[in-house]
Amino acid sequence: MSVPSVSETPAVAPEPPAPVGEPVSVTWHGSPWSLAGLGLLNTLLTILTLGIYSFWGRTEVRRRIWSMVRMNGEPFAYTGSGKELFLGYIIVFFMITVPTILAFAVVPYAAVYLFGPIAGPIIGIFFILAYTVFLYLLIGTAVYRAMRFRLTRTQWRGIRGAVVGSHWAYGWHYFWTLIANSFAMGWMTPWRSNLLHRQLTNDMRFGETSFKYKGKAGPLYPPFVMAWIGGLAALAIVIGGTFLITWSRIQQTIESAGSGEPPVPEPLSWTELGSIYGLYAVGGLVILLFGAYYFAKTLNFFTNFTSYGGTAGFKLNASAGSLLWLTISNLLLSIFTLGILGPVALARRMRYVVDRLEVTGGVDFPAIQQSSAAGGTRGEGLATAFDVDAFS
Amino acid sequence: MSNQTFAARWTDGKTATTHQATVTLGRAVEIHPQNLGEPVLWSLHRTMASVPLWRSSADVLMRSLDHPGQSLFVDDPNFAAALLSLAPHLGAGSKRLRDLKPGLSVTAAIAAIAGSVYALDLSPATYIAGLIPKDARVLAGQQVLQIFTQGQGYCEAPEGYAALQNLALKLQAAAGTDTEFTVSAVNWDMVNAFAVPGEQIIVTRGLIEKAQSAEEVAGVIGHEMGHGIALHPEAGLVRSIGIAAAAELVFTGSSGTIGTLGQQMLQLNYSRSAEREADDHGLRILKEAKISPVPLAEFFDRLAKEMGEPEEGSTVGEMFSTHPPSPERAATAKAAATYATEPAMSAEDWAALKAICAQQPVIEDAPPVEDLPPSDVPQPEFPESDQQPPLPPT
Repeated sequence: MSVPSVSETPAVAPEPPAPVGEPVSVTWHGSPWSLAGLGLLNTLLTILTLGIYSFWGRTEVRRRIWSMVRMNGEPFAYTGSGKELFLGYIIVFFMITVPTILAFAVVPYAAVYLFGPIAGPIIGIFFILAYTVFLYLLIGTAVYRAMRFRLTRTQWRGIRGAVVGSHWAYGWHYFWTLIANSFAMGWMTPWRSNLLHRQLTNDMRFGETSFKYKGKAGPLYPPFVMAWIGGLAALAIVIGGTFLITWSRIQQTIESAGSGEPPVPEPLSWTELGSIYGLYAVGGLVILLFGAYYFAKTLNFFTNFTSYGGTAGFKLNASAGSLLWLTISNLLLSIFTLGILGPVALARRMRYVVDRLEVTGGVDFPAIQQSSAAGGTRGEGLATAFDVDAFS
Repeated sequence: MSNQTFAARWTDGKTATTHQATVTLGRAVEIHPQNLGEPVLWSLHRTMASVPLWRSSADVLMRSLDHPGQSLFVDDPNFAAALLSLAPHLGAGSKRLRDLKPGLSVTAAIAAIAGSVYALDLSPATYIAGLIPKDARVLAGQQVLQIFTQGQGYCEAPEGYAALQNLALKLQAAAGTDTEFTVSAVNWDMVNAFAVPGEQIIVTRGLIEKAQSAEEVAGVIGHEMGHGIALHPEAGLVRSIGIAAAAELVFTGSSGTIGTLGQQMLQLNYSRSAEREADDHGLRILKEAKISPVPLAEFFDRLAKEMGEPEEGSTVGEMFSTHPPSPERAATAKAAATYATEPAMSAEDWAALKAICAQQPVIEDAPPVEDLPPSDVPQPEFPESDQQPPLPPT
């Protein structure tokens, strides 16, 4: 099956900036599989230390992966430490996990105990609803703080990255657009991700110089509609196919209903059962392909409309097929090794982006000043607790 | 060793400009940026590498804790080996040992604490149980009772009930604590007695029928009061909830709902030392109440014998299955008989107690649970099962 060819959406990148400064090339250095041994060692040491080493292990994986990315021949560096990941986790454990356990496991009992059998459950339910809203509000802030945590711990030529805005503002946008999108049956998805991406990108800095995102959601809609139609097509394949396979039975049932005799159900044969499961597989693959198609379009669009310092632009060349292969192979890689090869999967994901990324224009490196922004300290733990980590 | 010189790229940490430089390794890292006059010196032990190093590492990116923002990149396959011989702390093995320290220390500490709790027979759960207010303990106990007594009625024939309560008051007074116990009989043919949180004690019809004297019943109630005084039911509850919560965290990484209290209680068994503690309390109570412990010892013996040769249809084997009434327990009880005794109750009262369940409908006629009037206590969900009711702690 091939990816449907769609006339190119008018997602033309903005005018290439006038060439200023040094040209920039980002390259990948080394093999993701060189992290296989580290994955095994980290797993063993994590078990030995009752899980505590995992924070140091994850840090080493990041150091190694960051160092595989080179810009103009010089490596990126991850300067975070295992200790701060660990402390972030501890803080989140006591500030989020423990209160959440109490809220869901103790408050309902306590409410009945304090307010009686009638008022108690009502008060308990309202409390849990309010607490759930609070947790959802935190998700966006977690995404934002995790990004800030990582950028402030990313260096190139000794210059740090930063995210300079308010995580509460981002968290609020994340929250209300999530609610609105659910009322819109998902049709706000391209608009929403564009909005969130713009807010995050415009807050991002390398040194004191900022990134700028100028994309508008409109061009994301044709691929989204395509993906949607693809989903419908998959559904049609599954339902229509099942109908065809069982057509003779349906006819029999109709006939027997006419004759007044009760229909005699016969078990499905293995061939019929196999064909139906095959249909499900085909339908699933179609949905995945169209999903990958939309996702690749979005990634490219986001990248192409991002610029840095007014002089450098970006171009990403992700395709549906390659993205689908990356996702499925990484999933299998992680599942079949019980996560031991997780670092390899992570590196493959990073390499995918680096290999397909092109920097247009140039950067005036001497003009980039060291970042003065302070780094957040506990963004990571929260993101991990919510499992919204874009990059673990 | 002669100092070695390598070509490098150095940044000053102020801008993203890179400077071609030469670096010499000696007593410090000596960096000579081209076209800049003064060399920069980094102390070796204050340096950090961007990744853990091996002697075979192809290139090295390093920084100095004394010069934040500065970075040095040496793209020379011989540099890592030269650097490692002077600054071994940058090596992958040495770094990993340092990284392992927190995890190993915590693991060792946990092992030490667990070991000493086990060795010294400490019970943090008992301590926590002591912090729970009595109202909450009674509520928890009622939930447990609701499950244990599902489908069985309480036995409340007036004369028998009065006899049981008089015996309970006598034993409670003998216990000498301010604790108030609730003692009830349940129309259940299994031979059993148990204590649930909140100083609530249940004896079954089976046990009352099996007993040959009021002293035997008194001995069993005294033993269960011992569990109550020592907060064993509460401690068991705390322990099982704690383990459940911990297991949930470890395996799902998040919190779901923790099961109802009653279900936790069903899995409860007391340790040997807890049984011994309850026996000690029980024998003390009997002595204060001037009730002979010998019948209790005989009761233990009789049960032990029946467990040895289980009869068809006997339910004794199911009772005491985890902590059987051993000859040792019977001997201890016999040895305690060193005081003048009085009857536990009059013969009439004993006859009444024997008949405490007489007015109760048999189990089959008991109204189904759904038809029972709603209780103040939330009904815990209990998986439907056609198995024998689970064994309550004895």
